[in-house]
Amino acid sequence: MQLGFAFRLYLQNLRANRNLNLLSIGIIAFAFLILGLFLLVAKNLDQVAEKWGEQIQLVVFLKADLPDKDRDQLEKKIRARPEVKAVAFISSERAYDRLKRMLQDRASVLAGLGKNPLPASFEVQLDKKYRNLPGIQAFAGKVGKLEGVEEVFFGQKWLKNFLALVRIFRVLIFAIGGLIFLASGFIIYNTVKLTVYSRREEIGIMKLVGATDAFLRIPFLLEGVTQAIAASIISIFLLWLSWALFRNFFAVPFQLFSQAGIGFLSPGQMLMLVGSAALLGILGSMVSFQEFLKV
Amino acid sequence: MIELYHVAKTYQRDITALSEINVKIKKGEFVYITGPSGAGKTTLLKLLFAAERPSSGQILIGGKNISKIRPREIPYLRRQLGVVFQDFKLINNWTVFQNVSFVLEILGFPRKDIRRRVLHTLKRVQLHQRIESFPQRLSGGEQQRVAIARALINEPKILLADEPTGNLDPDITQEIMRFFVEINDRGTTILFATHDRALISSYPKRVIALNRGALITDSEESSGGFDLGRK
Ligand SMILES: Nc1ncnc2c1ncn2[C@@H]1O[C@H](COP(=O)(O)OP(=O)(O)OP(=O)(O)O)[C@@H](O)[C@H]1O
Ligand SMILES: [Mg+2]
Repeated sequence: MQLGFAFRLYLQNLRANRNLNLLSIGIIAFAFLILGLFLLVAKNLDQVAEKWGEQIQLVVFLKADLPDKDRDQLEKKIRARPEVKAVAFISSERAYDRLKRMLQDRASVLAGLGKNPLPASFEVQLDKKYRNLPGIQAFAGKVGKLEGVEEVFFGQKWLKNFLALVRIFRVLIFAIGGLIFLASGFIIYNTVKLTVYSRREEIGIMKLVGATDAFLRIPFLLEGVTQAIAASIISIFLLWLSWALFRNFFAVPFQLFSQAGIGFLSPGQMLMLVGSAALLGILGSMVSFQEFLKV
Repeated sequence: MIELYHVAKTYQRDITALSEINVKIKKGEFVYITGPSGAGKTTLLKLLFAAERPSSGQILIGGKNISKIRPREIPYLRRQLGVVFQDFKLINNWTVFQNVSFVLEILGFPRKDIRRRVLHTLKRVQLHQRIESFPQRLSGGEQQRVAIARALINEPKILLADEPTGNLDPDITQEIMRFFVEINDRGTTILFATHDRALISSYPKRVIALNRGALITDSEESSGGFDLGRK
């Protein structure tokens, strides 16, 4: 019904305050771009962690001189666990051969060791369901306590550091995201306030002939939402552009990424960004208008 | 239709704009509110469309007590009233057409109806040649007629007109008065603030005279219609 009229008032405001609106959209888009970059890095770190989890080899090192009988017992116990998909026994000789092959022409360094120092081991492949960090950790903890096991290895230290990094990043994103949302909300609040102020006479007159506050609010809410949505879409586009230009540049030096590739935000994440921006726009302009009504 | 009981209004604690006003106006009446400058005419009208609240006393419009009206109900009260403001209150960056049509837009009328009704009303106040003009390009009298058209576009039950002919030449004044009388004949209650005695004598109606915020005479009362304010 009166929505058409409210919409025309909104267009009128946009036209009258075009430069101010564009400026505000530009600033917010820039702020969102920074947030987007952080989100993108976090997403890729997550992806790397996930890929690793999938590829992780668990190696169960056996105590030296473990009798064959006990070894068979241990293998049976490991195989019986529900997490396990496959178990391969690597004797200490085979481990030595492998190392030799890996070192190729530098194999002569092994000669200096004299006796073969490598322990025998089981290489365990976990079922897909358990190929993630909590699954692996739980499994390693249990198997490590079995009789005859020296150590369970899966690159714990490396992973721990990496996950700490991921966690720090998460906190950083919350802090930066919060700050950026606050600042953007404030920018919207201020620009809408200026528009409301420039229309105070019209608003007053429309109230005198029976316009409700709810109706008068609509054009300004639309303006705030427009700023927020436009800014978030522009920032996503800019983020995509920089992603498209630079992903190969980063993927090569950081081998981590070369398998998974540097990914972009998912459609759901982009929608979230635009959606929360829209909410921000509503909030900012609402506060502006409500404040105006009070005075 | 409009009832005031012991109404008083003071601005800023000590400026008494109205005191002890008791008036009853029936549906369909045409009432002049007169008195010298500063008598409280505009203040009285402001109380009726809830731009100001009475400091004491009760005001009833159509049986509803508007001295205690909730802010969210005010728009719906105003939609039943047409107000011609003493200072017109036109929106300067809107055309004459837009200044009148927005009243109907707010009420959600279809656009075709809006156009027809606005053109019709602007014709009645002889402004149909100027629909695309902006208020500041109009003479004082023309602006006043835009204000009149806006007040009447919604066929209000009650018209509150604050010196609506103050800027008009005699011929247009006659035309506007005929328009008002016609609307009044069709049932609209009219309160008409003016200090133009000649106008009152050429269109004699009930007169309420104020001076320094007090009700001096009410022609209706002296003719025995009401007996108020003597309790
Ligand atoms: N907002 C206000 N604040 C303080 N005093 C006011 C205010 N509005 C009106 N007054 C005072 O109240 C008194 C009545 O004013 P009002 O405007 O009602 O007079 P009026 O009869 O309409 O006069 P005029 O014929 O000049 O329009 C005056 O003394 C005026 O100074
Ligand atoms: Mg006045």
